[in-house]
Amino acid sequence: MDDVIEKLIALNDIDAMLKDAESEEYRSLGFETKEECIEKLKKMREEIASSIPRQVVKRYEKLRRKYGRGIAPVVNSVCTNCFMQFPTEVASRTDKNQKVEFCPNCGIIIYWT
Amino acid sequence: MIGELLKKDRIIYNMKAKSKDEALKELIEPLNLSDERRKVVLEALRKREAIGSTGIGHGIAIPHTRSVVLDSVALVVGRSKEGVDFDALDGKPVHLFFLLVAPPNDPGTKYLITLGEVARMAKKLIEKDEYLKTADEEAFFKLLKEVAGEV
Repeated sequence: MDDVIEKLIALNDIDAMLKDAESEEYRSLGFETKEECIEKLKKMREEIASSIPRQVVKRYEKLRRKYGRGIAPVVNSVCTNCFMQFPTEVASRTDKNQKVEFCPNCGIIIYWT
Repeated sequence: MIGELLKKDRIIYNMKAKSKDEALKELIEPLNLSDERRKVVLEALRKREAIGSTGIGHGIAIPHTRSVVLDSVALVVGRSKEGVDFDALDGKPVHLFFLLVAPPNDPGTKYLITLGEVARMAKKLIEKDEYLKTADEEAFFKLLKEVAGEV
């Protein structure tokens, strides 16, 4: 897998973790969500984001504002963000996840599962 | 909901792990992920543990995370007779693990609802105090199903 895609996945996973950690519903379950822990997670996020090319991070953030996430998996040739079906010739490529790609329909960064 | 997630092939009756990291690795095995996906999920779980242990005390740990590489919510239950040092909040070894993983965007916050059910189920199991005494894997699975029906 491309290094940048791997980092974008980590970024998205941290964003999901942060969203949970800051929600009342999650806190009420009794999991440790001290302010210092959340800060630690935010620092990890910054470190990962700073190691990704600036333009890619910018696009990721823009997509996150628009869709609530910056990257979406393609499952069974379908983009899980907009549900567009990829043509067979694209879905059967052997060089998937080797570079950052976008869904031609919704523009989200895609990860092939 | 939680009853649907309990599957025989996602139960580890006798965990071999001795440390926290070994436990996380062992717990994700039944998910049958590709090496690439396993690595990503393990890293996300480690990050979650780094911000505070999911060892909630009384011998229970509920490691959990969301990850882009997952297609659906999945639950793995692990039982360790010897116990694992998991940096639990009460400092005691963990004997019962509930690993919950999910994709980042799930409709109707299924993940958080399930996480709540898992926490309630784990507490009920501790109250019953039978999970370490079950005769075999089948009896353990039966006990899990029974308790799942009560939450």
